[in-house]
Amino acid sequence: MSSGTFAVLGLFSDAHKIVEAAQQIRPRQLGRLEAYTPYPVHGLDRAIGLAPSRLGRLVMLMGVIGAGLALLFEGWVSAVDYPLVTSGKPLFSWQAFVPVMFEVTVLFATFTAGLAMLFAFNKLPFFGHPVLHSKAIKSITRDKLALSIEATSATFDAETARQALLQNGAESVEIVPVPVWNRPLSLVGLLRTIAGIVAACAVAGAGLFALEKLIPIVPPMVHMHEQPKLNAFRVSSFFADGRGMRPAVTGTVARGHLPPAFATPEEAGTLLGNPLPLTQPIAERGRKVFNDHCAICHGLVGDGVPLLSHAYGGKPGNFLSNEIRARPDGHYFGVLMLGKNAMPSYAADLDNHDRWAAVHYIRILQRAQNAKDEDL
Amino acid sequence: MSDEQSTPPTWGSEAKGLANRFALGSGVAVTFLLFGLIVVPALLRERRPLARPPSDQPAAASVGWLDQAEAPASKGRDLPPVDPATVMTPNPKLLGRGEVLFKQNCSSCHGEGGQGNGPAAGTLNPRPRNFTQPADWKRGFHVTDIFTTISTGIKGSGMAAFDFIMPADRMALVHTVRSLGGFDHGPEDPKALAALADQFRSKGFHIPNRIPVSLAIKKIVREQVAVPPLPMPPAEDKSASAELLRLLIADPSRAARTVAATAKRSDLAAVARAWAAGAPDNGFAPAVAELSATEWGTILHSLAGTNQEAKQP
Repeated sequence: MSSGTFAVLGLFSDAHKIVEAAQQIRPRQLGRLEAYTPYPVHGLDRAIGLAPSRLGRLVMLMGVIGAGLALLFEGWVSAVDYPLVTSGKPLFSWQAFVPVMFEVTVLFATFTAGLAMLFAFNKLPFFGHPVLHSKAIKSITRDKLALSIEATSATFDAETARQALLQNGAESVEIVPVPVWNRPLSLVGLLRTIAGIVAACAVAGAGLFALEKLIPIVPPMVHMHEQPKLNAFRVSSFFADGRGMRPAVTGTVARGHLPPAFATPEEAGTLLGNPLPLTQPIAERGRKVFNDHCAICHGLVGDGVPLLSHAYGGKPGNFLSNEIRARPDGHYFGVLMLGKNAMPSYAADLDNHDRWAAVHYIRILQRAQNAKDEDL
Repeated sequence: MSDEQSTPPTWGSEAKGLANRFALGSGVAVTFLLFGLIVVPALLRERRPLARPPSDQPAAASVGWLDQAEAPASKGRDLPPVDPATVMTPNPKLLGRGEVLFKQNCSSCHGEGGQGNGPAAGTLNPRPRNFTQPADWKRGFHVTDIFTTISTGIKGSGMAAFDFIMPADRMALVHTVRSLGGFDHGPEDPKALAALADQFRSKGFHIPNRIPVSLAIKKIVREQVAVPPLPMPPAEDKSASAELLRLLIADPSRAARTVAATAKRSDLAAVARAWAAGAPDNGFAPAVAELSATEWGTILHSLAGTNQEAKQP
């Protein structure tokens, strides 16, 4: 029966007694001492001979190894395998390796700490600690303190351990047997697990698909691009006229799309004046607008000698002719809005500010090419 | 030491070492050359003062030496009058010049052969004249008629005034246009011809002064007379006319320009149309289009009052 014993548990009510019992039993080396207490007991760790954790030293060691490996690797890469002078520094510039060394140190240290703690020192995976299945666990988690002598070899004598505990003041003693393990990592268990995951994914996916597509009864899952909406330039069954794009409400215009209040440039000339004061910045703006949009046909000085349109046989208007010079500012604005002859409308390309600035600039060009005598 | 002596370098390792040293040496040499030829001269140049101070003009304003708009100023001059004998009747020299000018100025609409089928003809309404047919000439096809058309254009059509072409060259065009039509152009009116000849004899052609555009900008900006913004009624003024002004005038300075521009018009309807057509750019709110007659009276009265107040000091 001794081989079937995991540990012998002795229950105590008094923290002093359990510490004394541990001090008495430990030299007899009956087995590995362990204590289960509902609260920390000072001195108990020393009494059961619990050594300081070796984790720190292990982490230190692995950290140093990581730093060394990083240094070696970087040194090998930059000085041996692919020597490349960077910023005129020596090939083996350890200062530049420090960030990566730091990262690798942290990587090694954290992985060592986590994995060693879980698997080396805590002996995980450990499915169901036998003490959790003991009768004493209820009192241990309430008010009793338990000293456990764990079997470390086949020669462990449960009866000796029981006697030792009773002699040293244990109120009751329980022998915890070795539990019967289910082996979770067997081939069958593995296959069952995988099959279960696959089945769960398939059922969930198929169910969602069916709900979403075949029986669309789940409103939040309707795709956004499948929602009922109006598309510009598309047919829509929603409105009686079958158009997705709606005409403006009668008597309204879109903001910023006021239609011109004139039908011809001549009419514009009688109606409109240039609202912009002719200042240096507006003149410069007009110069930019003119050079960008007008000069390609009307020429940089507005003489109608084109930069480009000559290639197409065009004859754009000459702003320097007496006929065009005599026209009011509004006429130029009207031509920009409505177009004239072969010239297209610039209603969509410029805003009113730029149009009026360009009109100012045309006046400036006319002045430059017909300067007064005192201008010279 | 003894190892090195005992194993003499092979030919291959020797060559490798030499090549390595050569590569290193040439790399260093190239680096020095780069520095000597590029970096050092660039640094030296940077220390030299700029020949021209950097311009603060916007980029579009400095197209550079290609910019005709910045050509140096030139004084205008008068070309002497022309002897009518050289231009009143066609001659080969005149016709040759006319052909060139026709291609430059007329053919885009009237077509190379004058048939009214140039590339831009389709955009014009009415269509450009077909010079090969006697039909539909608005002013007629006599020498004086065509000269007038070229000089002043035809209102209500795409025909512009080509008054920037010198009169003698216009006559070259007249004869070229006439030569394109094979039909009988009929007898000329001697009186009109004589008047035209007199014009050539008496008047030359004036080439105006030209100045750079940047100078023209400065001159024109300096000449501008500032229009003071319309005085808006104070906020505590809650009278109907004050409320109306606040509603209608979106931008007092622009509205002041508009008022000044339309000040000479006596016709109230024309003023109303002009203000409404220019809104909101002209400083008035678009609501100005929907004023009643009494509201017009109110606003004109208050504007006239403020104008007088503005003039008083």
